[in-house]
Amino acid sequence: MAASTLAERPGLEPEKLSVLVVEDEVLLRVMMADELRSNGLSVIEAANADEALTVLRSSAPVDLLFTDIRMPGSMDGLALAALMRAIKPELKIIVASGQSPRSLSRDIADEFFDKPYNAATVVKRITELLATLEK
Amino acid sequence: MTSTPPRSESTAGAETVLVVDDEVLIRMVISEYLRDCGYKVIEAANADEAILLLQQEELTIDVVFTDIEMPGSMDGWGLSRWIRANRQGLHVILVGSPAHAANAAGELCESGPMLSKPYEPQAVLDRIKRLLAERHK
Repeated sequence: MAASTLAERPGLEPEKLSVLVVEDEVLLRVMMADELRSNGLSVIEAANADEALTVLRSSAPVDLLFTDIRMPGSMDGLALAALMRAIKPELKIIVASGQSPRSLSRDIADEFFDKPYNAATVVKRITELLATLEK
Repeated sequence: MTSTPPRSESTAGAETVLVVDDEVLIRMVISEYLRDCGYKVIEAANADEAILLLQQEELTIDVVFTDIEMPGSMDGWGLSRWIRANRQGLHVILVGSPAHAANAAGELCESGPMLSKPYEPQAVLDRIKRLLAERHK
């Protein structure tokens, strides 16, 4: 049976797991990053998809991408998710949107959340997805 | 061009640092270093985000650590002037380059919760340089 929590995967140390939070609303980004860090995870913050791509193209390790969809810049969160799914399929991806993403396929992300979302629920899902990592 | 103040009363006992930088890789490494020093770090990608955070009454911010050159409505000097006008007494550290940022962060570590540096600022600068070089490949 697959482990569903990080506690069931003693080999996976939370602080060595890295979540990239991409959100242009700074108060929301700070709140989510804080919530994830208080769960022991390592967090990288990006203010838009361009910053996220800069991080994802660098050698900084990222295990899970948590991105908003509607953001200013050269690309929105959906394009970012689709691009990363194509070039880094092992990356876990969660997309959050103010509009219900009914037409979105599982090919783009492992999970979708409607905004406004409950931070604790999102963090729980993030840790579940991280627990499935092959490390 | 930097104003890295000497250790002073205003940073003693400071717990939360707001790091403001439009270059995500530099912001990421400096913030991580300051967290490793025991600070709580809040990140802003530009001056507008920083001001929005500074206006939140429930957020305690003790030190603002900001890059000087930033695009947008306000650069680091402008942010510093805004703070002087609106949040008097808040300690501001202005940095003009990654090297200055690494050194200033090192000094902040020595006056921070752990009163010491977890590793040398040179290691921080080396990491920034390595990451920025990857970007231009």
